[in-house]
Amino acid sequence: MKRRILDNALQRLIFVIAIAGMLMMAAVIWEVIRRGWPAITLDFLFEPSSNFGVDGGLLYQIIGTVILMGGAALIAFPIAVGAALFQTEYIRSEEVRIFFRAIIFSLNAVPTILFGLAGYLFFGVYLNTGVSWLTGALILSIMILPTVQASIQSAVESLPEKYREAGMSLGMTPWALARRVVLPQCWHGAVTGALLGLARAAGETAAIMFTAVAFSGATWPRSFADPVPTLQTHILALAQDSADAASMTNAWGAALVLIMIVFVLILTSFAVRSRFSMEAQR
Amino acid sequence: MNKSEENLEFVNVEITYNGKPVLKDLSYTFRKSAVTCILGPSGSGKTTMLRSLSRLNDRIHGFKVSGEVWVAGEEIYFNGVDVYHLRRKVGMIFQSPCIFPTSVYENVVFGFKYHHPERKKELPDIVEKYLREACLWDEVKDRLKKPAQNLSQGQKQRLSIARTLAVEPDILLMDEPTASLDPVSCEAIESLIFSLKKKRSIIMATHNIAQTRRIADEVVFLYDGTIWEQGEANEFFDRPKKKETRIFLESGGSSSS
Repeated sequence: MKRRILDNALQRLIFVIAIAGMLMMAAVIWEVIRRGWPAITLDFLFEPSSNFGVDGGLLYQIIGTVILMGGAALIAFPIAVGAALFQTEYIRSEEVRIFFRAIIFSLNAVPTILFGLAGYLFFGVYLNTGVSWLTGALILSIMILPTVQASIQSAVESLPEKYREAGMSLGMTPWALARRVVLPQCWHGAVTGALLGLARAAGETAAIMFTAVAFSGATWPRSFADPVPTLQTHILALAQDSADAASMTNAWGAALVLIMIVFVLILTSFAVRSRFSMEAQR
Repeated sequence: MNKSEENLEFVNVEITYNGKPVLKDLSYTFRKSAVTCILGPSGSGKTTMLRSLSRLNDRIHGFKVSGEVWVAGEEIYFNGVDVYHLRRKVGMIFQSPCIFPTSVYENVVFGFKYHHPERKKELPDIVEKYLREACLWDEVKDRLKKPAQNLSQGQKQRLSIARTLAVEPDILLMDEPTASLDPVSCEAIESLIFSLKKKRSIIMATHNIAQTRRIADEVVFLYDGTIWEQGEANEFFDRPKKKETRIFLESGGSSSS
């Protein structure tokens, strides 16, 4: 009886905490929509900014953000697939597997500003590449690696062992198993991981601030060494450098665009996961 | 280390999982082009014995084997053995058929395409040949490009046999292949086994005494990880030498004590 009361109480507490978390998120999103919506027009989305962002739109910031996100995902994706397959298909020792997982996941715990600093010192100073979108994409790819890999790995690990055994019994090597049996049935996890990684990269500011971004004047990159403007740093610059009401509205508008990009990516990843994992279980 | 090319043999084999013995002091020579049934109660080590012939236990944490396992003139746990070639030569049919989520056609050629990427033109013939050999052609010839997941359980098992046959194994291991099937599918698999043994040695793990009576040429009675009795099937069923074997046979396979 006592245990049941305790169970019920804990269940309600968890429910309240979950609702509180959702309400907080809803409040933030509502505030961004309320303040940013007045700025959203077609011109705002498709025109370049001018007068340090006070006038014009977000064209190059959106392009810059997409370039950084896409570049990071393109670099991180094959590494994440390789790391996930290496851990699940090749490493036999559980201890070594745990060690690898700890290393990858510890990347998640590193403050993002450290990635920026380390990236700046290594690429900007040591390799003398300066501030460029490629540097930013490389740094972001390392940052999103654990997110992408975790998603791929969980899909690979959830594949029933019988498929591997069926492949093995036909004389397939671990590489052939990974390529012909495991990956085709886990690609929904890979796509989900890539999309979640993109969403994470879209929200990142500190790591790219002094490695990849031009705060004003930049358009699209014409070489690997060019910096790009991004939505994140645009919001930062507008919010910090001006007390002007118009630039604040633009900052909220840019925040709304950024949130919409992230939301679309996350919703797509959930849709891919649920649809294709259901198909795989048929 | 070489024996006869056709040799299939256990010599003083002991298999342990995390130090716990599952098979003990196992010695047996399998007869060629015959159906050998490994009979025994659940947990007696039948599946372990079967899988050890194609090194399918290698992935299991804590698996160790001592003694010698000879397949086609090669000691297969000896360093340097090409385990992938071995598995191709020793096909395995599992208790529950595992079908890849693709078409019937692609399932049949799944292993063949991997081993012979240059023989693409032969694929349609290969599909027909092995589906016929697995007695499935007439049932699926009009839906080769349809998802294999829609087949019945019995058809899936015959499809998995066709897929295994397509990589041309010399030996077929079957781990209770009819355990999850209805009587009609069971009968189809049994007659298939009869036709397959003409060209290949078949080793089947089972606890189904009636089925063993119908299809076995040789019987190995395994109990608690050791071979208690072995021999020609008729002899084994008509004149079992040991008391424990008689009790197992009289109990219909449900008990072994």
